Amino acid sequence: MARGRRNKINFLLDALKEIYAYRELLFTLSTRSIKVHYKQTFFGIAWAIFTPLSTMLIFTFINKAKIINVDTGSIPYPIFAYCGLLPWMFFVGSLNSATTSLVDYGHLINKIYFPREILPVSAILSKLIDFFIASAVLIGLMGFYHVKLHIAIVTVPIILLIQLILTAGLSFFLSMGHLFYRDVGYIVQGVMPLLMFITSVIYPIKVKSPQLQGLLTAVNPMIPIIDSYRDAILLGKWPNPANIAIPICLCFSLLIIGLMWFHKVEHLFAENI
Amino acid sequence: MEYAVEFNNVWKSFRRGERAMLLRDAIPLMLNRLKHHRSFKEESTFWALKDVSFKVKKGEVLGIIGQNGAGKTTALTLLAGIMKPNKGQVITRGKVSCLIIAGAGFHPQFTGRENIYLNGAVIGMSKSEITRKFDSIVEFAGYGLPDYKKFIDTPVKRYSAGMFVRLGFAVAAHVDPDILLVDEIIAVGDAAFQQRCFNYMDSLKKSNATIIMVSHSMPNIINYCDRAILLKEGAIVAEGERHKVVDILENEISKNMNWFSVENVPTSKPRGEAVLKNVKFNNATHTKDGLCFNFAQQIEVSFNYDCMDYSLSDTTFSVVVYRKRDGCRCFTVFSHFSGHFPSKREGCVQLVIKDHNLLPDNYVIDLEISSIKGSAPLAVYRERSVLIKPADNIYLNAQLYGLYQPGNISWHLS
Repeated sequence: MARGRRNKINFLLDALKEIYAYRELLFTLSTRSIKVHYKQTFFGIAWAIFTPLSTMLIFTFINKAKIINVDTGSIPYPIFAYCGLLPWMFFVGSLNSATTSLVDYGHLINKIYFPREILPVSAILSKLIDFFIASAVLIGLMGFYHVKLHIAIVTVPIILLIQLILTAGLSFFLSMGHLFYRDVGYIVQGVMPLLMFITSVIYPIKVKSPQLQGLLTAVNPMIPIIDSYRDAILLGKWPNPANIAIPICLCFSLLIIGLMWFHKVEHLFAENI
Repeated sequence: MEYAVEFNNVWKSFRRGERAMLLRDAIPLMLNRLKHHRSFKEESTFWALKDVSFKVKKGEVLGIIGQNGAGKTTALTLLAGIMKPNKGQVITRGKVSCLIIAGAGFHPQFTGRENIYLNGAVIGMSKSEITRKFDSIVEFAGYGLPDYKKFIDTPVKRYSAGMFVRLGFAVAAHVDPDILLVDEIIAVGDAAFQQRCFNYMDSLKKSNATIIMVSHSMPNIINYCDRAILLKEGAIVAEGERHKVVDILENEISKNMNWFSVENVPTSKPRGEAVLKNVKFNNATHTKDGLCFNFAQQIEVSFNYDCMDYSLSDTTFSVVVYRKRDGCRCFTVFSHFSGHFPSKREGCVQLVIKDHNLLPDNYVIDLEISSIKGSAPLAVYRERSVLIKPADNIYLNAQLYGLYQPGNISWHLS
């Protein structure tokens, strides 16, 4: 029993070591997909800002026009929405491109050996650059609305790390699934926009029953993650550990199981693509 | 003894036919299988490799040959680590590089320079390593012109197909692997580029790297490999000395090429106005497969003739050599070219062909009496199977293959 567990840990360490050995490829592929994305575009990398900004403007208009009525407390609605849209768009964008990454790079998988984990991870990394660029707008909005900075903002990198772990874990499952059955890609594309409405992106998720609230938070780790961003950046509050403990465990187990499963079946990719 | 590569009882299967790519198609398939109690494996797998075992020593060059679908490329992909065997073990010791990766990861919108870095990273080179070898890569690709910088900073989508592939090979040829896998290298580039590829392989060989080479070009196998393996339908049918293994495959191929029998080798019907008889190949060994010569051995023929009533000044003797497997006419020699005409109506011709440059293969030799003015020959004798035996320690240049010359011919008419 103990021996089995030890082997599993070694297995995981081997997978991580291999990814580290190929880090140069990881960075080259990430920068490549950013360059490909914005090559032959007029506005170039400014497109990274376009989607979150335009979505924010539309919802601000809807809110102003009283079509929906969102209570955001002391936070002005535009910055509330943007602070949710920014990590959400990063989450959706990286899941979309990570899901298809193995199939997109099929010509490489068929021809050459390298740890296949590199592909979904580099898809996420290239979206991370978009995320950082779009963050500039958030900083601008914070200046515009005179948001006071609090020491709790130091937790933002940790929250981002948790989000990355969640995204990576999911990406391993989804990219494998998409490789074997192309349905997965359509499911991700179809479900993600709907998922936004049960996540606290453009309005806070506040349910009367505390059990239901707990359940929602546990199964959808993006709720506590986005809430924690808002707490740390806009409200100057430390994230509530009771709220984020379960999602963190979920994220880590997703990553570990995802990585191990991925590593175990990656030799089947070439012939099944 | 440490082996660089070990294949231990390797089995590899593939699915036959199209796999269901959508769940919609996959679910009924699965239900169907449950209903009929058939396992997926029984109905749609075929074995690309069946119980294949071989070992390659460090520094050895192994050739893998076989007809299409024999499992050669499957063996290489297993060695490259792209796939894993169903059963058995594939062991490689050292860094593996593969020349089938040429151009892998190239992006058409990127310039040649950007793609060199990208491709280099994909095949496991570090950035500093690529920077160090950059000029050499560009030179290898054959852009070594003074204004090559124009090309190297142009998106590769504007490259010609040849430039594109050459650049891919150039990058791949700058990895320093312990084990190099080569899949049909000869197909790309001009002679100079191919020479660079072989120089690269030579330098690797000198540095004691192990090379495994798949090729349909038998001269290349004979020139570059120490040993060869013949695969047929996923199993090793011959292994060992390169000439023997190549011979087995060539015999098999020529056996199957029955659409081209010797009978179809072009010749016109003799007019029967002369007689050609008592043909003797004096220095040939007679075997059950026909006449046999060693490589580069001179060919001595003698025959008697009778011109009957035909004008002697219009009569000439000729030798025509055809390659048996494809009917290629290697060379034709006429006696009147060197001023030899028959002086009598009946007599004997002795002929010696030296330096004929015929490569080890099977040939058909026609001896003819014909008119200088042309038209159909007066008499023909055909030797249907003349074998030039393969030779050891003779360097056969791939470029020479198929280039024949009659060499040094001496006629003696009496």
